[in-house]
Amino acid sequence: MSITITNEKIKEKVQSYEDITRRVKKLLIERLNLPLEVNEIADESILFGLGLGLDSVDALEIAVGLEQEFGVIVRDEDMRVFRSVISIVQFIITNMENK
Amino acid sequence: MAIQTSIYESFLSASASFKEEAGFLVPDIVNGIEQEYNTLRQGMGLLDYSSETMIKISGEGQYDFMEMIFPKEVEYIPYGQVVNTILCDEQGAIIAIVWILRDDDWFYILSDNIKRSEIVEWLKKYKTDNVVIEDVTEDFECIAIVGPETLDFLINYIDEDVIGLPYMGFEEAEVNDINFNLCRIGYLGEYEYRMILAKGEAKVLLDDIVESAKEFEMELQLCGNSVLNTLMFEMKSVNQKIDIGDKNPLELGLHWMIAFNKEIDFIGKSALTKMKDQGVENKVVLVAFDSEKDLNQIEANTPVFFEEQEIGSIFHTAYSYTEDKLIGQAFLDRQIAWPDMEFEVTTKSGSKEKITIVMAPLFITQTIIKASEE
Repeated sequence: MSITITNEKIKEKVQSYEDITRRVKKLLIERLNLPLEVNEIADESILFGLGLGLDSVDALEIAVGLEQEFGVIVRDEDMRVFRSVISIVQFIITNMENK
Repeated sequence: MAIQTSIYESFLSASASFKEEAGFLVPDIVNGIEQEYNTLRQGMGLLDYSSETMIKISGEGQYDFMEMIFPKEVEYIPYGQVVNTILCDEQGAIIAIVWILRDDDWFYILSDNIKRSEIVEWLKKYKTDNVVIEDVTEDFECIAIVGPETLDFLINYIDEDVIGLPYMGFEEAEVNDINFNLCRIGYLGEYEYRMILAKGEAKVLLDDIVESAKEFEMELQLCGNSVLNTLMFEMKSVNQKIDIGDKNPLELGLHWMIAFNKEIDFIGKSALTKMKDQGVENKVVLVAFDSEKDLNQIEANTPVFFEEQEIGSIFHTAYSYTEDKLIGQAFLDRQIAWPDMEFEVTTKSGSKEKITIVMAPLFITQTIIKASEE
């Protein structure tokens, strides 16, 4: 079923989420050498523990990757960013909106 | 007649109510849902998990069998490690969500109690002559201790080495001549340690744990299993007693439970690969209700609307005490199911209620905060 979105702002937001989610998944795969394809990672995949099973070293690598790819800086107090793939995406979008 | 575990009387003395599940009398509620919720999210609670399904797989052919049955690589799981995966049929539909424990020369499969007969039936369907399948559920009992204070307690109760037991690990342990397998798994976002021991022995262990908690001046409360649904919900963990229905693994976001690149042709592989290649049209997301806080106001399968278009439905609700919000799990059209998107539902009383997609887990738990500070 195709959803009709009449609100332009929402249309842009949806497009942003689609695009950035795909880019974040690619970044994770490439940076962390994950043996996965983009469509093998759920949007809501948890990063640590159950889910992708990443560790704190991976978190540093991701932070560097996010800065290089999206120009966003992840500070220590942004711990929440690393809950899931989609939390990273939302962080990026929020940062971009605030620039 | 339903099975009463050796700790049934302990829970009964604590005024627990019980439910019959899969042939067991399972403690349902002890001190009220809200109090038990706070115990498990802020302190330390003890639960009876003895009714959980436990199947032992052994025999010469066990490795080939396990690799064929499960969509994750199993043969090379190191001893003492646990893998979380699904059991699915040829069409890729979920039969059960399971934990696989690798012991010396065999595997244990753990799952929710209601899945016991389905799992056994499925395993026996594909069993080869050199594989032994034993339903050992009734041969064991299991005490679980859950909550952010649990690790501190266990360091005192067992010893400091317990810090080294990783999440998804298990090992033999012994305290005061009581032997058990200590297993660290769970979906609640809190420390969750399971102590698995022979049938009839849980009472001695429980009494010892309760006494020790008093000695260490740590509060430990008995909790029923009813509250677990809310804790799982907040972490968006799939509660297979309620959440699966006819949703496929990818719609549920369980991609990580499947090794798509596994070379061996496991059951459901081609169906799951096709699902992955085609993508999903709908997915499960967590939503928060704007102002409604009454669970009874939202019926199962309440339709969800975006700009007057029906885009899915809410199939499960719970009240989050931490967030002081009614939350729901919704099965929505993937195109529009992104964080902070707002939709509308109609409550039972006829009023329009706004809902917003929220990220999971809903919040960072005390356990995660404690673990990151240590």
